[in-house]
Amino acid sequence: MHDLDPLILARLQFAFTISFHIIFPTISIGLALFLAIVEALWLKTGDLVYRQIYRFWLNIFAMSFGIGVVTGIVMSFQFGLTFAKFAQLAGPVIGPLIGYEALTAFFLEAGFLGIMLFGESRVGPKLHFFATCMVALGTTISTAWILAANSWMQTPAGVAWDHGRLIVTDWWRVIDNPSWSVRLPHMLLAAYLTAAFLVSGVSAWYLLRGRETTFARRTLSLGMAAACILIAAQVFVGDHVGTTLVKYQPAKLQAAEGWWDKTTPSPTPYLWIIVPDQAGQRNRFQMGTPYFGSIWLTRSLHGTIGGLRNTPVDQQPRMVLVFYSFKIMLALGMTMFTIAVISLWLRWHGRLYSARWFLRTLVVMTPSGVVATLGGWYMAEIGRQPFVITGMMRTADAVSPVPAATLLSTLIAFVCVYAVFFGAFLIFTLRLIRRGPVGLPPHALPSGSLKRDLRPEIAGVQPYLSGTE
Amino acid sequence: MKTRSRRTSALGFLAAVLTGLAGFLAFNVVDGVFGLVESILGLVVCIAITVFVVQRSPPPEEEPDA
Amino acid sequence: MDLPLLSALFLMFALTMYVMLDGFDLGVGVLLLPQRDQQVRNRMVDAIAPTWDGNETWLIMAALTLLAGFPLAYGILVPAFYIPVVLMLLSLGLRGVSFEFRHNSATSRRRWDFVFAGGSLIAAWAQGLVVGGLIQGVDTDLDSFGGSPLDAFSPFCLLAGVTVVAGYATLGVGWLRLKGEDATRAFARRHQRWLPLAFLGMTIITGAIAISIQPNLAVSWRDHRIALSCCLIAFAACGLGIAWLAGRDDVDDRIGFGLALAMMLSGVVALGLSFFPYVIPFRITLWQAASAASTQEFLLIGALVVTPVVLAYSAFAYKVFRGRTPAEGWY
Repeated sequence: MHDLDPLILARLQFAFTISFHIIFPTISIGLALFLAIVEALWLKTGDLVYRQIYRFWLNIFAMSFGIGVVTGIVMSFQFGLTFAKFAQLAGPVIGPLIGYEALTAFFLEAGFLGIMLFGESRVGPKLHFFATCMVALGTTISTAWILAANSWMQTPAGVAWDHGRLIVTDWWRVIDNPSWSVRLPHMLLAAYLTAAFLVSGVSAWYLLRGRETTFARRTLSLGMAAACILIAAQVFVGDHVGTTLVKYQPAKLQAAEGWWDKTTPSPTPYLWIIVPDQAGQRNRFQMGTPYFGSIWLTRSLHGTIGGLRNTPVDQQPRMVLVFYSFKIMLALGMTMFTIAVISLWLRWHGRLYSARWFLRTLVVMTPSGVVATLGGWYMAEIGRQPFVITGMMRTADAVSPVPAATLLSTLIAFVCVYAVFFGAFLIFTLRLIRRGPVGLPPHALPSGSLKRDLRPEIAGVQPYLSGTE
Repeated sequence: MKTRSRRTSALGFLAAVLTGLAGFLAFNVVDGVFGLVESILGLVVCIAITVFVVQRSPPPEEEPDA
Repeated sequence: MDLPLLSALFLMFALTMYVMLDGFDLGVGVLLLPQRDQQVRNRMVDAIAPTWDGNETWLIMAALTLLAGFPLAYGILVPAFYIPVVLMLLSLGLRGVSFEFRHNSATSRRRWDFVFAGGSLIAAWAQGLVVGGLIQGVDTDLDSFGGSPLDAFSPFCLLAGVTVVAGYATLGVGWLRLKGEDATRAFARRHQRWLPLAFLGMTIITGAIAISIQPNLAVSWRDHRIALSCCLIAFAACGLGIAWLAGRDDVDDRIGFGLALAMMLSGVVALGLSFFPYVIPFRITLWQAASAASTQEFLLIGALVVTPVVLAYSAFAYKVFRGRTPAEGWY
C-alpha cells in the first residue's frame, strides 16, 4: 500500500462524490422551476393535462431531489474527510457561505418539499402552489450560495492573510467575487436546459411510440420553447464566463483552447482535437477549423492568443482534461443551439411533433444537459489545479492526514453505494417513463388529486380537506 | 402537380439553408463576436423570434397537415 | 460579546435539534427490523416521510457551523472520525434513497425496507461511535489529527454506539405511538415498556465506564455538579416515566413522546456540559479553535435572523401533517 498516493486518492474521492452529487441538483433545480411553471399553468387554465404533467414529473423530481439531499450531506463532511487542511484555512470564508445555504435554502426546500409531495389533500391548491414555488426558490438560493463558495475558490477576493490564517475583510467582496456574477447565471441556465432537454427527450420518446400523445405534445412544446430561449441566453452568458477567465484565470482558458505556444499563429484555427504532450509542452497532434480561433477568441480575422506556456510549468493544469471537458460542453451547447433553431423551423411548419428524425435526436439528447454540466464543472475544477484556492493554496497542501489505505477503501465504498443509487434511480425512472403518466400506480400519485378530479366519488381523503381549508 | 411539389421542396430546401445560416449568424452574434451591444440585441431578437414562432404556430393539439 | 461562545451555543442548538428530530426518524427506521407486517411497515415509514428531510438538514447545519466557527476543530475531528463518519454518511444515504425507492416499487419493497432499517441502525450506531470517541479523547498533533482511524472502534465506543441506538429507538416508539393507529400503535406500546429502561441502563453503564477511562470527565463533572445532577435526574425521571406511562391508555400520547424528547435533551445537555469549554474534549477549547471575529459575526447574524423563520415554517410543515397518519398513507 506504500505506493498509493493520498493526494490522488483524496482528489479521486472528492471528484467522484461531487460529480455524482451535482447530477441530481442540476436535474432538480431545473425540474423545480418546470413544475412551478406547469402548476401555475394548471391553476390558470384548469387544463387537466398540466395536472398530469405535474404529477408525472413530480415523482422523478422527488427521486432526484432525494439523491441530491443524501449525497449533499456527504459533501458537507467531504471537506474534512479529504481536504482537512483546506477546511482549516478556508472554513472561515466558505463555511458561513454554505452555512447560509443550509439556513436559507436547505431548510426552505425541506420544509415545503413534504407539502409539495404529500400535502395537496391537506392544504389548498394555492398553498400547494406556494410550496412548489418555495422549493423552486430554495433550489435557486442554494445555487447562489454554493456558486459563491466555489467562485471564491476560483477568484478569491475580500480576504487578507493574518499569521497564516485567512481573515475576511469584506463579506460582500467574498460573495460577489469576480466570477460569481457570471458563473451563477451560467449554472442556473445549465440546470434549466438540463430539465428542458430531459422533459423534451422523454416526450419525444412517447411521440415516437405514438403513446400519451396529448401529454407528450404539450410537454414537448413547453420544453422546446424553453430550450430555445435558454440556449440563446446560455451562449450569451457563456461568452462572459470566458471573458472573466481571460482576466482572472488565464491558465484555465489557455488549457481549454489547447494551445501551448506563447503566441499562436495568425490567423489562429479553433482546435477541436488535440493530443497534448504535457511534459514536452507541445501538441503531438492537433486539428481545428481555420480562422475560427481568431474570430471567436479575439473577435478579429487575424488575432492571436497566448498558449499554456505563458503559465509557469508548476502552475499549469493538465491540458488534456481541461481541453476535452470544455469541448464536450461546447459541442453539446452548439448542438443544443442547432436543435433550438431546427425546432423553431419545424414548429413554424407544424411538424414539431411528427418529424421522426428530430424526435429521435431529442431522445438521444435527453441526458445532454447533465453531460454538458459535468463537462463545464470538470473544466472549472481541473482548470484551477494545481491550486485548490487560486494562487493561495495548492491542492497538495490541503490533503487530510488520513492513510492511503483508508482513503482507498472508502473510495471503493462510495463507488459501490453510489452505483446502487444510480442504478436504482435509472431503473425506477425508466419504469415510471415506460408506465407513462396515465398508468401511475396509486402510491405514485402523491396526493391522489388527479383521481379525485376525475372521479370525485372515490375521494378517500375528504375528511382532511374539510379540516384544513 | 409533380413540378409544383418539386418547386415547393426546392424552395423548402432553400428556406432551410437560409434558416441554418441565420442560426449560425445568430450564434456568433449572441456569442459576442460583433461586440457586446450587438450580442444583447441578438439575444433579444432570438427571444422575440421564439415567442413569435411559438405563438403563431399550430397548437400542440392540432394534427398537422400531412 | 463572546462570539465563539455564541457560535458554540448555536452549534449545540443545531446538534440538539438534529438528535431529537432525526433521532426519532432513525429510531422508527431501526424499529422496522422487528416488524414483519408490511402494512404496519408502510404506516411506520409514512409517519416520518413528509418531514425527515428537514430533520436531517440540522446535521448539515451543525457540520457547517463547526466548519465556519471552529475550522481547526472541524479539520481535526472529521479526519479523526473518518470511518464512522463515512459509515454514517453512506447509511444515511442508503436510508434516504430507500424513502423514494420503496415508494416506487411494490415487488422489491421488502428489500428496500431492509436497507432502510439497516441504514438507520448503522447511522445511529456510527453517531454513537463518534460520541464514544469524543469521550475517550482524540489524539492531536499540532493542528492535525494524530491518531489512527481505528481509534473510534474501541470496545467503549462500540458500547456508546449501542446506547445511542437505544436512545433513538426510544424516541422512535414515542413518535409511532403518537402518529400510528391500531397495529402500529400496539407495536409501539409493546416496545415502549422496555426501550426507555434499556436506554437508561445502557447510559448508566456507559457513563460509569466513561468516568473510569477518562479522568478529565470526573473533573468537569465536579465543576458542573449542580447542573449535571439536574440533567441526570431529569434523564432518569423521564425514562422511568415513559416506561410507566407506556401501559396506560388514558394518557395523551404526546406526553410519552414529549418525555422521550426531554430525556434525549437532558442527555445531550449533560454531554455538552461535561465537555465545556472544550470543542475537542479536554484538548482544544472553543476559543482556541474559533475562527476570526468577522466570520463569527457573519455566521451569527444569519443564525439569529434566519433560524426563527426556519423554525416557524418547519413547525408549519409539522402542523400540516399533524394527527395520526391516515390508514391509506398520505396520498
